[in-house]
Amino acid sequence: MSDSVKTLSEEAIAEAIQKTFHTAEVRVARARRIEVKLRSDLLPPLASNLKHYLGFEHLSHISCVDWLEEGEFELVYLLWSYTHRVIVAIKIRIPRDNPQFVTIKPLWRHAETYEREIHEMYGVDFEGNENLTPFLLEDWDNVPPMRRDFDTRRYVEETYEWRPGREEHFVPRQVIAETWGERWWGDTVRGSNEEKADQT
Amino acid sequence: MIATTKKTTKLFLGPQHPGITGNMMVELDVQGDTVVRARTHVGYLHRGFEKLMEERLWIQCFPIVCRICVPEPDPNEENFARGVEEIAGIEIPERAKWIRTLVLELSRLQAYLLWMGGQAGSIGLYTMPQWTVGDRDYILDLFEELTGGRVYHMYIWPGGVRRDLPKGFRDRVLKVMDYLESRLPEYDRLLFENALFIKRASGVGVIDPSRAMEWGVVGPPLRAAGFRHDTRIDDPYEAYSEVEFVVPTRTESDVYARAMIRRFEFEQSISIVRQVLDNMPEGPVYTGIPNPFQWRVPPGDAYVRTESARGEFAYYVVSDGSTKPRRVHARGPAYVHGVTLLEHLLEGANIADVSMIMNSLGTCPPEIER
Amino acid sequence: MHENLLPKWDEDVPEDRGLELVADWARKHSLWVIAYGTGCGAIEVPPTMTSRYDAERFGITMMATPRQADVILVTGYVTVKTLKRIIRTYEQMQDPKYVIGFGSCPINGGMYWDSYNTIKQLDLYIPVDTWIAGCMPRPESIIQALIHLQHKIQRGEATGWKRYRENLEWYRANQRKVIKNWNMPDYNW
Repeated sequence: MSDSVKTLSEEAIAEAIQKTFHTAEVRVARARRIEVKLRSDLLPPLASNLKHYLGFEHLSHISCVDWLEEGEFELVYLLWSYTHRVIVAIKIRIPRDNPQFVTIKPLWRHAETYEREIHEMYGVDFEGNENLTPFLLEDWDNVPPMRRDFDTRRYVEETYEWRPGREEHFVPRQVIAETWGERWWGDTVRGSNEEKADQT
Repeated sequence: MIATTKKTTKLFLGPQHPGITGNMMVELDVQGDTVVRARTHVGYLHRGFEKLMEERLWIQCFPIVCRICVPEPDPNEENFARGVEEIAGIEIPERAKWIRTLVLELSRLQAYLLWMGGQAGSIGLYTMPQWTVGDRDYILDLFEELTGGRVYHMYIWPGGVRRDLPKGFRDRVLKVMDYLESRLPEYDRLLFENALFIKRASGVGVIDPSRAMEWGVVGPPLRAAGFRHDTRIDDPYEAYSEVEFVVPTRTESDVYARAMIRRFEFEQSISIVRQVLDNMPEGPVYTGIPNPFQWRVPPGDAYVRTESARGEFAYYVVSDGSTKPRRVHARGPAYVHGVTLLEHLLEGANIADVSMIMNSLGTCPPEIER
Repeated sequence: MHENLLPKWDEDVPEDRGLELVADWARKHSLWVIAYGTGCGAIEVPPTMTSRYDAERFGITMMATPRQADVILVTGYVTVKTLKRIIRTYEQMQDPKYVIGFGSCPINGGMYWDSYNTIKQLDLYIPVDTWIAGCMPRPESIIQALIHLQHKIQRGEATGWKRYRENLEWYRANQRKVIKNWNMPDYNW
């Protein structure tokens, strides 16, 4: 299958981004991957710039990582260009105690779903997205569950009941051996002739 | 134009319904037979996978990853494995890449067969599921022989695949491929060239091609709108850069176009399976990973994508240098298609077409909600 | 020991239950399963119902509405949101009705044992007649479970619906513990 001719290389795109946004940290991670670390208020102009001027038409993913130790959420926007065949990963940090950010729904309509889920799972408020209604959870009144300070095992122990375990006083391998009439390795089978022989 | 002065009735195509693809709800506001507004409600299958994966070791995540997408579990395993390998810098042997390609293509075939049954069932043609789900079982038999499980395989893991192909496997796969090719003319006569299906499906659920990128459309719906994009060619992975296949496009972008795209890709997948079996190199299938209980993946992140039967399946894996993942975020194609795009496409549709449109987009609730 | 696993064919005619015996014989040969795929296990239900494993030869088929169905297959894990709908569907079904718990997730939580959104024991919330082990169960296991249910019906032991009626307060108390927004109708049979 022949490659379609790439219009711009990763280095050219990285240079274009760096020239336009001076405070960004741009690096080419590997073939077809560029990583940009950006100041948080510069995301809408960069996303718009990439979409309209550099041909990054497809918003592939919006993700959120909770860096509890540093007190920040990291939002990662992953854009893909079908013409240049490159992914640009834009990473921004927002403070954890009052997480607020702006929406990019006017650029891509399906960003609404990603932002709705990040709002529900992490508690980030996206200004400009009118549909931040509950998406996956129903009647959830606890801490947003994907935050690292939400202990899921303790929540499960408080809310649900475990089924009591099975209590057995026999050895499964012995039972299997007795059923099929075979020798059983390991200790001598209880009650067998060998045991009686051992005892004498 | 739909008059907005008349009253609307609320219909809940609820979680318990034979016409919807899985466990989700579509809330419809209807006037007569036309849908005025639609809202999807998901969350009935939310298990909190990503939180669970943060509590498990890296190697403990791999058995649970396949359950994120129920009809087609293999792209999940392959994405997770490839993401971890990219962060940790593990190079897998050549034969493992080819076996992974074989497994992915077989998984694509069985997902297409299940889709054919679902699409025909949504318009009332119940013979088609009887045939396709029955034929799909032959592929599941192959999977059972190779991996031990019919549906959830847990076969592709970081470092390669778990075991080599059994003796005589190649002949059995080729026999199943010949059988499926001989069944295609029957499927054509029953569904794809059926005048009722053509009449029912043409012009329904049309995605405007000029706005496809804005709605984030991926996979067969995008190819039915005229864009020749496929992750296997755009961002090649495994052994896809060494096999030849054609990526189809159509321009009508309705339900019938999507059905014909999938039908064409079915034939292409059979051809890829044959090519893989002919050209597979010898060698090991697994490069070891360090002791799984103490394996610390170095800090970093990776974004990997694969083309599943429904579109672009993506994983974003973040590691902070410890024995457990920091973040594993799975995004299936139904995440984009099943929520915002479906609500948009259902406006102005008939109630009877709701199920058909859902099936043609490939809505799969488990991967929306994980 | 392994004889316990096989159904006993000649123990199906116990004490004299009169006309109930005939009614149960008719019920067990036409079990209609409600079309509700509540979880993962629903992917193995189409192979069971279609031409290869063909559960229809036992009289088992899918049915669209709860009012006309006999069996609800809880196929796999149950989230709290789905549990509310399962309870509503179960209460809409007509007596006598049966529940089959599918897979290891309804038994003890399965692999989602530490998930904040799934329940860990299904029979605290609705009465279960038969369990199937596995993750996920093969179509042959599903058919074996349905035949096991048929034997239970013939022997008069599949009385989950009676248990639900008699212990309704206990079930309701368990349900209210996990379902916070309780706006469900009363159960009247």
